[in-house]
Amino acid sequence: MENYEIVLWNIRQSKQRIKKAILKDRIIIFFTRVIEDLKTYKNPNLYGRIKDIHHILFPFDEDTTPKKVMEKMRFASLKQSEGLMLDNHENKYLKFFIENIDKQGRCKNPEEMRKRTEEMQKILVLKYLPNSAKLIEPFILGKMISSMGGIERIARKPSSTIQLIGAEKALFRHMARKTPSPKHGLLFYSTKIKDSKEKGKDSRALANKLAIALRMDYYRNFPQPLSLGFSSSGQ
Amino acid sequence: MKSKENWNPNKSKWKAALEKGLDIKPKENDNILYLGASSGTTVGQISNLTNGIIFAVENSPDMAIELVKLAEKKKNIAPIFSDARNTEYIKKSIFGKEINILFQDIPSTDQVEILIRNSELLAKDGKILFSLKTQSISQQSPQITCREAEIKLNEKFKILSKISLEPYHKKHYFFVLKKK
Repeated sequence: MENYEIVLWNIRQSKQRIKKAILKDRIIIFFTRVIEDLKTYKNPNLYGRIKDIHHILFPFDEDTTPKKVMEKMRFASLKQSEGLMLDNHENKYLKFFIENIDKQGRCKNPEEMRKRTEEMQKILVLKYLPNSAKLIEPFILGKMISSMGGIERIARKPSSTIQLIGAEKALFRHMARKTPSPKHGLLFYSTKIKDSKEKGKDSRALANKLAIALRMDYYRNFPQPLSLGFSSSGQ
Repeated sequence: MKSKENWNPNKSKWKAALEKGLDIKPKENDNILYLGASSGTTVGQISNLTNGIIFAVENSPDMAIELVKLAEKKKNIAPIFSDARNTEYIKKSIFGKEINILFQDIPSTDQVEILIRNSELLAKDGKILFSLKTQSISQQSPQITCREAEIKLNEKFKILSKISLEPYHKKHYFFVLKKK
């Protein structure tokens, strides 16, 4: 084979394989961050989030100036993308999300936007993480995944780490200066921990159950394309 | 794209080794297998020096996206999105080309084993350039870890030269190896 043929074959092949490796947890993280934005500010500028979703759907685009990005997200069909595959339901919501944002990046109706985003995020989490969604609220679960940066990373962590996600600052202060150790991170916002009397004990028990449930969800519902077809040794 | 002066030794192991005085510039028609390409800062510079193909292997999707973008601009980079331990897939995508230089820069606990596994793809008189990050193998002092890795390497390869990349990269060593 000629040199340029090999290069073209490899580019085509790795584009297909990257498409399989972009998982649905990205879109869960995206919705969680939109809700966080809408909760903290009255009418935030959502252009950054549009850039995020553009990077997930069309990762190989060359031109990423604001004008081009907005144009592409508005008029291109989101279903035939090079990146993540969307189903009908997600596609419908995203259309609504983009149409509701004007040229300055503000939303036209923040109240309705927030309501529908929360609804959508809940549906997605219940669909892809059914076991762990029984233990804590979907929004807090999404927050934990987004702070770790992916479902794969959180599923491989021990339960003691899951217990302390979001309390890193207190943990390192404890290690350096021997202040009292933190007992709960983001788990604290769950109603199970908030209302209980023994918060440290309960959050440890919850983290133990959550670690098991997350592993079950990750290996059942998310494909692991790179590890297929070869046996790892010494790992 | 970037000019040759822009090649920063603080960001590239290959450039740091060149600054240290090793003679490891690729010849004109060398084919290179590059394990651990990341977003392609070094690969982009190396592609200016040779006319052969550079096979760049990368594992993480976010970095591989940048690599594919770079490969579309240059004409002699072939991005391979795969785990470096998966030698079967790498062998398939090389199409029987003769590999003259094998470069590895993977911060992992089994980096020496990965190198031994991939060295079967190399031609008989090919060169191996290997950057060893001691901190990801063990937390003990770097000299001891380097000595332990050297014992493993000596079984399969002949060590031509070995230096530390000290002012540019901390706790890193650089090896030039040959097949026995």
